[in-house]
Amino acid sequence: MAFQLYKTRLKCLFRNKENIFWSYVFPMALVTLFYFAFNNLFSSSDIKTINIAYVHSQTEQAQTEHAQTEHTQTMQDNQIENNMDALKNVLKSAKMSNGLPLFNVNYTDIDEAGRALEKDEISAYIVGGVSPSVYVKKNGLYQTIVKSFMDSYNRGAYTVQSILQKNPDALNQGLLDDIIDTKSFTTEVKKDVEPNVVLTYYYALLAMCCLMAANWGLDEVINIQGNRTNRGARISVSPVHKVKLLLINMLAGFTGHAGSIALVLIYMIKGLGIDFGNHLPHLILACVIGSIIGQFIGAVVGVWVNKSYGIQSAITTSVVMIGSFLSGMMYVDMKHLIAKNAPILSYINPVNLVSDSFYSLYYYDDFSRFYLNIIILVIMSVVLGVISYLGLRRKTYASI
Amino acid sequence: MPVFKTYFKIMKKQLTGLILYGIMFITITLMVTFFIIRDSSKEFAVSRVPILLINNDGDNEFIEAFTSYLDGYVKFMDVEDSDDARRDALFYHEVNYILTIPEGFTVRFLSGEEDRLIKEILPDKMAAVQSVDSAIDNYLNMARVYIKYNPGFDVAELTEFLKNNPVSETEVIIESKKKDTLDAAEFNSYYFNYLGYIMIVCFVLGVSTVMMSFHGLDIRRRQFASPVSSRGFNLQLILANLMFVLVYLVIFNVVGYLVNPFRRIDFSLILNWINTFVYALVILCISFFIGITVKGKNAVQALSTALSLGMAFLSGMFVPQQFLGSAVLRVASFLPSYWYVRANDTIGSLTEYNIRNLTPVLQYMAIQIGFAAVFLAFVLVVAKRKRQVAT
Repeated sequence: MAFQLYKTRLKCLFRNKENIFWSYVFPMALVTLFYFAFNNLFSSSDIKTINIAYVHSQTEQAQTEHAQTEHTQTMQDNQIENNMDALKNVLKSAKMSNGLPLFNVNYTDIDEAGRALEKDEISAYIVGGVSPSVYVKKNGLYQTIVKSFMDSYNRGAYTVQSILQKNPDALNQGLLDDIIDTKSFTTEVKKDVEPNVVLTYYYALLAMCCLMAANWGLDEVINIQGNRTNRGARISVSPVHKVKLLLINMLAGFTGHAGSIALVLIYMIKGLGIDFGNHLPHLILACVIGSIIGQFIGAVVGVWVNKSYGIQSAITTSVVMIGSFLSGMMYVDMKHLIAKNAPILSYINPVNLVSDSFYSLYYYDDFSRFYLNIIILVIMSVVLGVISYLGLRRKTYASI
Repeated sequence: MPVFKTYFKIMKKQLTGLILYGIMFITITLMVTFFIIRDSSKEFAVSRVPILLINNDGDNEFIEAFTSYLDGYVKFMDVEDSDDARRDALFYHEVNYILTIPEGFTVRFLSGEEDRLIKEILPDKMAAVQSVDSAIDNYLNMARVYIKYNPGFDVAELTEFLKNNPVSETEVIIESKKKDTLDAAEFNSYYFNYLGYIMIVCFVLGVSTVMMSFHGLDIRRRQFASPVSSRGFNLQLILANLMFVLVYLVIFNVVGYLVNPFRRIDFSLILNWINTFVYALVILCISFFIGITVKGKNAVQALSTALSLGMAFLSGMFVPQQFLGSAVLRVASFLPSYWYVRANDTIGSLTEYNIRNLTPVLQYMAIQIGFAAVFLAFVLVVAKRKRQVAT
């Protein structure tokens, strides 16, 4: 008998096209879109070689031309020439920490450089001379790197001067080589897992899918209340015990919804290769509890909000959507902002608790944070379950 | 014009939804505008990378000089003193770099031994990491060379040298001939791309629902019995649809102009407006098509969400096209929204107006008109069949 009820209910559920769309089709579509959109956005690409242009200063050019025509190279010309060569060489030989050249230098005149800057072909151009200056279009990291490089070039020159004052023989001891040979003073420690902020989107999305069970839970309690639906009224006069029927229906709802979660999860892990860490049983536990608490949220709304079905379903959807927003599904920094500024909120938001469970499984070595989340979720589910039961029990209708 | 009037009567029921989407859109726009304004100062400022410094070596003169130097290139963030909090800060990009000075570093470094600082970095922020790396390396290399050639130095002398070096910073000049135009263009290409998303949602929600009401079988049959001719009926519907599109576009184009902090009316803005109009025609035809083929309000709701999100993500309305993979873009080129976004992006990058620059923009608009024609053809075929069924 119980199995018959379960089977019938399951059939009903799978004929509800709307629920099937929002629980089965929509998450799959959304996660695919996330994948396409974010795949390249935050991918761990290396810094690219920075395109810059080098322009001789006007006076410098005039002087060189002058020098060439007159064939009289003064000491100062010589020095400027050397300076320029040094800067050019240093720009050319600068390397990034991964060994690629830092700059791609284009030697040109000032008009051409200005045009290239305008079109974003180069990040900056350097006008050489006794004190070189940097021209940029906007503030940014590449511009900062160029400036910091020029600073260090100036420093190098100053270092040579001040060392030579004290130790005139330094040049013969290889001072210039030492200046040019920059050593790296940092070494990277790698943890097992990379901090990858994109995962927050996927985790929040999966948590949202779990909590979407709210719509299924809502359906179940609506269908069992005599004053809500005709079917509820018919069930009320049937000889089946209400609690038994409710449990069976909830179980059917859970089965139907868990199917969607399993599908999305398999698709995310196998199809899209999203990293959930290596604790599959824990992961499934978090999904199951997320789905259960979702059902109870729907049940509470269905029992205690005395409004039309449209309004009830709008309320459950908004609760889930706002919860997803606060756990970073639309704007990834949100989760962290909440955790820092309003920590309470992150402990009562079920979507965040579920997505944080995924996150702690992936990112932390121990399970303490995971279990904390799970315990809070279990307590919340029990409380919600009791609240919805209190509204359902011992209902009698004189006339409907 | 009874049909025309009824159109807007039915539309009224969708008004709450349309207004809600509008408000959401404007709010997000204002938020983004705030970020754009904050970033666009006219003077050069070093982009200081947020880092977390963990000093296990204790305070001393050398470290103090080093950190005050680093302060020019990085922003030191305060993070709670626990391993979890640090890892969270790195994960959520609150800091891009965790620098640890190991115990005894100063002593080893000053005695000329090779030693390294320990870093934890964000692999997706390599430019920021490089910027910090080079700042650190520059400083320590200078110190290293100084130590090597001044064997009998003392620490005070060294820090004094490092502090005074360089005498003058490199001069950085921002060339901002067309800075205002650039800011306006940046805002516009963001605004109009996002508007493309909102337009799909609102048009499908609004137009499709109304069209659905008009094309129910019974309504159709009753309409045939009425004295309004079929031609007049359709003309009034087309007129009402165009009216809706025009009002919608005027509202959002004016709002887009008003909320733009760098507002200026130039040829680019007019091109943007023309582009939204062309795009609106495409979306109108698609909504019309949905309205007469799909049955059920819930299905329209689902379609409007799925279609708008799908087109927005694939065509680069949320994430700029340059960040999308080439395969995604190839698929997206079968969507009208892709060409709308491309036209917007091209308009945004125009620096001078001549035939050669404008040709691609016109081409992208022509492609959109092509899409509109295709969907219009679909609409005509389906409408004809429906008419046959009704009579």
